[in-house]
Amino acid sequence: MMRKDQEFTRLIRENKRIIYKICNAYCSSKDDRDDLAQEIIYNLWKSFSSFNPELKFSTWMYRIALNVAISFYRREKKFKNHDPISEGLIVFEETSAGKNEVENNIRLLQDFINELKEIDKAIILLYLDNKSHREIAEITGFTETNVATKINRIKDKLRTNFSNK
Amino acid sequence: MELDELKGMWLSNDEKLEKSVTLNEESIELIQAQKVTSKLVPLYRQRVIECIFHSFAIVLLIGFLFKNITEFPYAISAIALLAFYITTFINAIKQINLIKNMDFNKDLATMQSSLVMLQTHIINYAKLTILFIPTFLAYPTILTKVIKDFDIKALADFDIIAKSNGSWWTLELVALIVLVPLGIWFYKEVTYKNMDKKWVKNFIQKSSGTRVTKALEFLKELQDLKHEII
Repeated sequence: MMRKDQEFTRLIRENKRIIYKICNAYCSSKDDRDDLAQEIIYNLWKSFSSFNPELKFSTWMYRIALNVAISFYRREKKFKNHDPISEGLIVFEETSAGKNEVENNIRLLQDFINELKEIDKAIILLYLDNKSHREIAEITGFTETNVATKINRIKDKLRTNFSNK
Repeated sequence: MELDELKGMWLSNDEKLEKSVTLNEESIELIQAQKVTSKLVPLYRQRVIECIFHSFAIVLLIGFLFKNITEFPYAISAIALLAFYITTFINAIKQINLIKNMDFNKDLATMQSSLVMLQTHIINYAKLTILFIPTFLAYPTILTKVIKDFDIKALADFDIIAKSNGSWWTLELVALIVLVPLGIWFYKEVTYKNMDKKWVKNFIQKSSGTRVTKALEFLKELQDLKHEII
């Protein structure tokens, strides 16, 4: 049987993309992204004992990671209680190949997401990751109706941004 | 470009991310080895100290009240101050409960609202202080009585009540009648729900700073979303 710490590392490895996307959406500098990734993993580990294995890990992870990211974004760093780790936890290796249209659009989308309000960022990240309205409502604590309304408004905003690019 | 189209691209990009994003597993081991402590411990300690200070004041005032229960003006003064300290004590207890129940497992709206409530503790104190301004006239009243009871000669001249020939009581009564309804109105008005009122926003900004103002605006946004006012 796998030890708790090994099980945790495996689950983080499987879902590292979520942390990467959240850090990218909420932080503009590399240092902030590294700090946020560490903060997220620290809080996930701290709460791991309360994780119910019958639930979907990614939903649980999104809830904690987004809560940490929004708090971090709102400058809640003053009560830092763990030692900083010098090396980056999540490392992105950029390919040297030239960018195609798809990659450029994704980059553009990331830039637009960065400009959104913190709650809107959370909702759109969940939507883009194919979460249902119900799951988004569970993670955010808003009603499904409100989630749907919000998504439509963000869609309109993004559509305008893309047409103005 | 439609968002649904972008969603498809976003999901297909996941495969690329899977290959290009690497996890530093040694650093995760370092995190796991760290002692798990709550970020909010210093704040928790501050609130506990507040509770101790307020309970000390409450005990002293109850003692004073029992000793002077038959002297109506002094008893009323003690009750007025007791109301202030009990309210601030309850406020600090609520904050302690909030900190104890803080959990990143909770949904975003609940967790973020709790965090904002912690940040806005200072504005609660400012509001309570203004609400209880008329009762603060009770401080010199009680102090005068304590000086008399303990026969503190060095402060014998401090007896402002005797010197005022009864006008002190009139002043206290008028202050209570005029300022209490004003204080209640102010307390009810200064809330995140009224952030769109310029004077409310100005008061919060000047008394508690931009950070608290932004936190309250964020709380309003969260509550509007939660209660379908979008």
